[in-house]
Amino acid sequence: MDPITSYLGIACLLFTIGGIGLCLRRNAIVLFMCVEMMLNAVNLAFVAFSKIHGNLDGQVAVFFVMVIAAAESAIGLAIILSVFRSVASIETTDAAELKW
Amino acid sequence: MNALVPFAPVLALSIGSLGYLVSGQFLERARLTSLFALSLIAAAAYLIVGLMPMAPTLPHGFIINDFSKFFAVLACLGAFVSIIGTASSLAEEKIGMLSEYYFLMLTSLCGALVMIFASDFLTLFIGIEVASLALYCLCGARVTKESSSEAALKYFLLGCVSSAFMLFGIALWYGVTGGLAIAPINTAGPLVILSFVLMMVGLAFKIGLAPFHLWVPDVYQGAPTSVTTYMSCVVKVAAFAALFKIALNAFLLPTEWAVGILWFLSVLAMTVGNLAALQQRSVKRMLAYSSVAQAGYMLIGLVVLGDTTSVLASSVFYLTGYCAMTIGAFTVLSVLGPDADSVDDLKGLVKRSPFLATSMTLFFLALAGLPPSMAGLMGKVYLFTGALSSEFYGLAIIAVLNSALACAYYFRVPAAMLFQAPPTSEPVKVSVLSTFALTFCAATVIGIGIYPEPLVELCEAVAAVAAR
Repeated sequence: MDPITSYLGIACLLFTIGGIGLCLRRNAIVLFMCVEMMLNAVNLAFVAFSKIHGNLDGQVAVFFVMVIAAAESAIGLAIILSVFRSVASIETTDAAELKW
Repeated sequence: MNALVPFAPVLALSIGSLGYLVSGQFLERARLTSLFALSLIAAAAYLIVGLMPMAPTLPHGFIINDFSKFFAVLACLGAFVSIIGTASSLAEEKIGMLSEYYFLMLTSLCGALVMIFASDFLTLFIGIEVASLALYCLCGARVTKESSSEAALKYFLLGCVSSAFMLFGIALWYGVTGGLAIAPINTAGPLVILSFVLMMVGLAFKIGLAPFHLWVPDVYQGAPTSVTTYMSCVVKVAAFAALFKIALNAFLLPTEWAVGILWFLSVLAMTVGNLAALQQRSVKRMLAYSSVAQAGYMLIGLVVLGDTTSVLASSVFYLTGYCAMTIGAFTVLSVLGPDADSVDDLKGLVKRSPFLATSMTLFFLALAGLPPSMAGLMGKVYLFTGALSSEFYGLAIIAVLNSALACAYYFRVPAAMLFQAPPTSEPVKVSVLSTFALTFCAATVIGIGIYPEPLVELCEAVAAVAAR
């Protein structure tokens, strides 16, 4: 298999693993790690496509995505902390006051 | 300096909003805080109106045309009215620092404007993230309330997942075209379809279209009412602008497969939204599910898009009217107090405050698409006849059945307000600012129904630019 295509395969695999983790786990921090994994899978895809096309747009996009992921983790951890303060747990099944 | 001109509105908002962070206690006084935010938004709207139309050029990543200007002004107007309407109820909601609250709100509006003006996918994505990250914090602004943090957590996790899907769609787009510009695509194939589907998943999350609407009721209910008022309008406007832009300018709708996907999304959103809203006792959740259904109606314009753009114009028209209705309805709830939520809290409101009860009745009738507020009726008639004339009979029939079904729950709230005995006879105090905002929303809802021509013409122009 062409080496660049195999990078894309790995990106898809990582994205899928992240998605499966989101469906199966209930711990807010683990869920957040799954999302980060999906974002990094996309980064890998960007870099691989950048190599295929021979331009740098994709690699520049990766920097932006990394900065956004950092901002997301800052806010995400703050929100998880605030949930922990009110329900003393970070399991999403324990924070279940709102339901239909 | 000329290179900065297209960014003037966004720069005014983002630099101005920093004033909240550096001023400390000075801007903490309630009157001054909201006044500063309102003047910044007014300045941004003024700058947007003054922008010259400009084709997208590479270093900018911004596109300035009638389409983006219309949506940007609508977002600013929505933010302006929702801040006026809810400013006086913030103290009761026990939102920590007012200056932080307004800083986040202006940042989120800034992100919404970037979404609307973006001409490449990376700028669009950054706009989505700036708008969403600020909103995640705002949802958790009632730090003492458990449901507020819970809403923030749900919104945050689901929002991040939707961003990841959107981003994967963008990566595929880059893989197919080799660039990040939102420009007409000239190839077809499974990767293009997959890219479209992933981007739609991301945007459907932000708009709150079924089956990606699961966060909507929880967040609308858990977030402070003032934040719900703001996001029910501004987020929808920005996300619909992004959706129209991507679908029309990048994927060149109508194509057969895309129409199929959007048809499915539209029908599912209106049916699921209305059926779920039927069972709600909480007014906020009812309005949240109703917003899912309304988003389904608004999507009709994109589904039946043929050679003409008149149905798309109806969608834009309906979106404008919907903003006034939803801001009005949530403003009434915020005036009633931070924990007013159940239909029981609204019982006999007409005896406690005739003004609030009348305006709430007006907004609910408008949402149901009934007179005397003609905006909802006109919007629905335009959309459904558009679907019929483009020979989408199934869609038109489902939409009509749905709006009949929706009356069942839209009537429940006015009925409780008008015909049931109030729990207390204590009158509700309505502040001058809230009265002004409610009057404005009511006047808009009635006004664009009685005299729709100027707005219809504007929407036609906007739709023509969008579809070009």
